[in-house]
Amino acid sequence: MKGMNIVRTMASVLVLVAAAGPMVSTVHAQSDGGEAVAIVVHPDVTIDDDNLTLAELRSIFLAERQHWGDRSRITLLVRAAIAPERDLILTEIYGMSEDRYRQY
Amino acid sequence: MGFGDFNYVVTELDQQEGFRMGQMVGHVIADLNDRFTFFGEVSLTAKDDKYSVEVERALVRYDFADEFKLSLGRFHTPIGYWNAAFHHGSWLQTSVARPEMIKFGSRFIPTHFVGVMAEGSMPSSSLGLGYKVGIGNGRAENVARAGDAGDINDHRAWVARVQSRPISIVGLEVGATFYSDQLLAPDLTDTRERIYSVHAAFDRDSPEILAEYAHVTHDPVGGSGGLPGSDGWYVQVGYRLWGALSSVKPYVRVEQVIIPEGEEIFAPLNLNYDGVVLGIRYDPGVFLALRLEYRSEQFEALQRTNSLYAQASFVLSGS
Repeated sequence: MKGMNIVRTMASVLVLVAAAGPMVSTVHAQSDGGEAVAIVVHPDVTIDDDNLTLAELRSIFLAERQHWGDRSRITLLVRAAIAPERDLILTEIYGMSEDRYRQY
Repeated sequence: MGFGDFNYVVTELDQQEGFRMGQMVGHVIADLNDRFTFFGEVSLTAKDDKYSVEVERALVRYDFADEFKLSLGRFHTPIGYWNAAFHHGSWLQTSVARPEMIKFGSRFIPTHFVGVMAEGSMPSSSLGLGYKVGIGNGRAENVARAGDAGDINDHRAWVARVQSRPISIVGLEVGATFYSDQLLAPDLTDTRERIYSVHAAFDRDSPEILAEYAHVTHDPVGGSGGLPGSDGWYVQVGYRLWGALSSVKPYVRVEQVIIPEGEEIFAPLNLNYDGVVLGIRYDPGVFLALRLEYRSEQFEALQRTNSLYAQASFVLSGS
C-alpha cells in the first residue's frame, strides 16, 4: 500500500496540507499526478521511518486510531470545506461525500 | 451540538394523526484532562401532556490506549449495528425511525446499559478488529428500561461484542454480540436472558446496506433450558442518486420480530411485528433532511395497516 511521507512542523497538531508544483518536492510528498498531499505532524511525534501507510492514515482520519505510539492523543485537523485538499482527503482517505463525512 | 425533528403522520393505526413534535437532543463533550473525557446526551421527547426529559447517555471515559478505553456510565447497549452506530437524532440515520426490534423504548433488545464498558482495537493491520465488553445492571423491572437506579437482582448483565471494520473498505462492518442477564418473569420465576446477535453493514451512501439479526432466549434458572427463542431482524437498503439528484436517497427496509407462542417474557408484551418501509430522504442542506416514508405494518395477528410519515430533521452544529 502506498505510503505518505511526513513533514514536521512546530504545530502541535496533525494538519493536512496539499500543494502543487515546487511545494511537493519541498515536503517530499508522493504524487500520482500534479497534486499531492503532505501530512504534517508535531516534531516530537515519533513515526517509524517518517512514513504512514494509507491504511494507517485512514485509521487515524476515521478515528479508529486516536493515539500515537507514545500514547499521546492525536488531534486531527482537516481543512475547511472550501479547500480543494479537503475534497482529495474525502475521496482518497474517507471515501465519502461531504454530506456523508459530516454525518460520520 | 444538537438534533431535532418535526413530523406529520397519517396512519391507520390506533394513534393520533397530524403534526407531531419529535425529539430534541443535546450533546455535551468535555475533556476533563488529557485522558479523561465526559460525554452526555439529553433528550426532550413530546408526549401527550408534557415533554419527557431523559439522560440517554452519560459517561466518563479514560483512554489508556487505542487498545483499551474504559468507560463508566449509561451507554447505548452495543448489541448489533444500529444501536451502536446511530444514536438519538434521526438526522443521523437514513429512515424516519429505527427498526422495530431496536427502536428506543424497545422491549425486545435492551437499548440502554448502565455500568462499565471496556473497548478498543485489537492487533490486526487490515481487518480492523475491535471489541466492547461491559458489565452492568441489565434490564429494570420494566424491561424497556435500563437499571438506572440499581440492579433489580444480584446478577449483573454483561455484554461482549467483536467487530471487524476492514480498513481498505470504508463503511463495511461485520460483527457479533453476546448478552446475558437475569430477569424476573411475570410469574416471579428467575429467568436467564441470553441474546445472540450478528450484523453486517455497508454503511455508505451508494449503496447503504444494513442487516442485523438477534435471537433472544429466556429460560428459567435451574431449568433444563432449550425453550424456543424469539427472533428479530431487518434488512435496509438505500442508494443516494447521482448528478442533479444527489440530494435524494430512496430506501427500503423489511423487518420482523417473531415471538413464540407462550414465550414467558415477550409473549404478554405483544411484540410480534412484520413491517415494510419505503422512503425517500432529501437533503436540501448539509444539516437538514426531509423524508417521506410509507409503512405497511402488522402487529401481532391484527389487520395490516398503512401509514405515511413526513419528517424534517436537522442538526445544530457549532461548525
